[in-house]
Amino acid sequence: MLGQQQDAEDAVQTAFLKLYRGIGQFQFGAKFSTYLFRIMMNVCFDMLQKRRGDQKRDWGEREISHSSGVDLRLQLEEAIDALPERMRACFVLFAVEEMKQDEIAEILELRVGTVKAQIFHAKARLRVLLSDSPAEVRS
Amino acid sequence: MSCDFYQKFESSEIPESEFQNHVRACSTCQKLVEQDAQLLALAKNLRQPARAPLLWAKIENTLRAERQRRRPAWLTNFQKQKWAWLRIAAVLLVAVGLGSYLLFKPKPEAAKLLEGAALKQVEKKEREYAEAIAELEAVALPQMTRLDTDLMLLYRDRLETIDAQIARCQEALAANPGNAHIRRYLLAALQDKKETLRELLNVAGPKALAG
Repeated sequence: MLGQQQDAEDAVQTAFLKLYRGIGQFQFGAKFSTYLFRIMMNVCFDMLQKRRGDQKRDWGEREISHSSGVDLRLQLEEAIDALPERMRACFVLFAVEEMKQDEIAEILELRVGTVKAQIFHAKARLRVLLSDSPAEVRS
Repeated sequence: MSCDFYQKFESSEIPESEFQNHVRACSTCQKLVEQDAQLLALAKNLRQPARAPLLWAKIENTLRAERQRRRPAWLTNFQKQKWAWLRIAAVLLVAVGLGSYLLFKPKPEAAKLLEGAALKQVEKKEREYAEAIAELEAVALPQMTRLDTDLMLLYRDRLETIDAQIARCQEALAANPGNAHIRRYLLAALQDKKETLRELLNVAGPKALAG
């Protein structure tokens, strides 16, 4: 989601701190993993926003690049990284974390229909990568 | 060639069975489904556990620092100056204990002194005893010669003992005239002497007592 391991570690650390501070707001009966993921995703969005402000780059509208090498995995990571934040979050939770769409909707506080649409559009953008890539996808 | 069936299926606008029927006949949708399957398979492989051996230690440190930060100031101060507070508490405890003892301790004997009218009344009673004893002595002591020797010695010793007791009491009362205990002993001694003299007269002869 953040693209760099150091940033991911910082995000996890910050998320635990926020969890510690706000654990009183957790409603028992709700799914704890959903609560934790929601905190985690909000931290990621905050960090991305800060990074965008620092670098003055529009990460959300970046074009997918094919020049970074033939490794399809790396290309996919770059392509995911280039997706708009919300779309990226939906796709990562769905395709990488293998979560259900209604759970994603709960984590990101979106409607299920919105999540479905975001995932569809993310796949459409990433499909471009697969169709244009010189490397073959071997599952 | 474009086809919006796949999008409709993805957004749950058409049921899966209808889409499956459509896919069999639509090469565009077939290609999209295949590409998405490949994409999802590739994306699933992106989930690899990253090695972060120091991450949990960092989280623990952060949480510990946060707990320290949220601790009330008075508790932190107390822990820093624990021994000083304990010394103050010990001094207060001793002070309260000592104060309570001084406040509630039993009254000393000196506090039970006879004062004013009570003292005068006791002294009057003692004088009455002394006068009665003097009268009895005047009559009884000459009669002692009429007793046999053993009985005379017995009464003489007994009277000397009582006199010594009276003398000790009077000596003590000279220094502390208000002491109720000594007054009580003195009255008892005087009463004892009076009774002994009466007894002596009875033994020596009823005539002497009547006279």
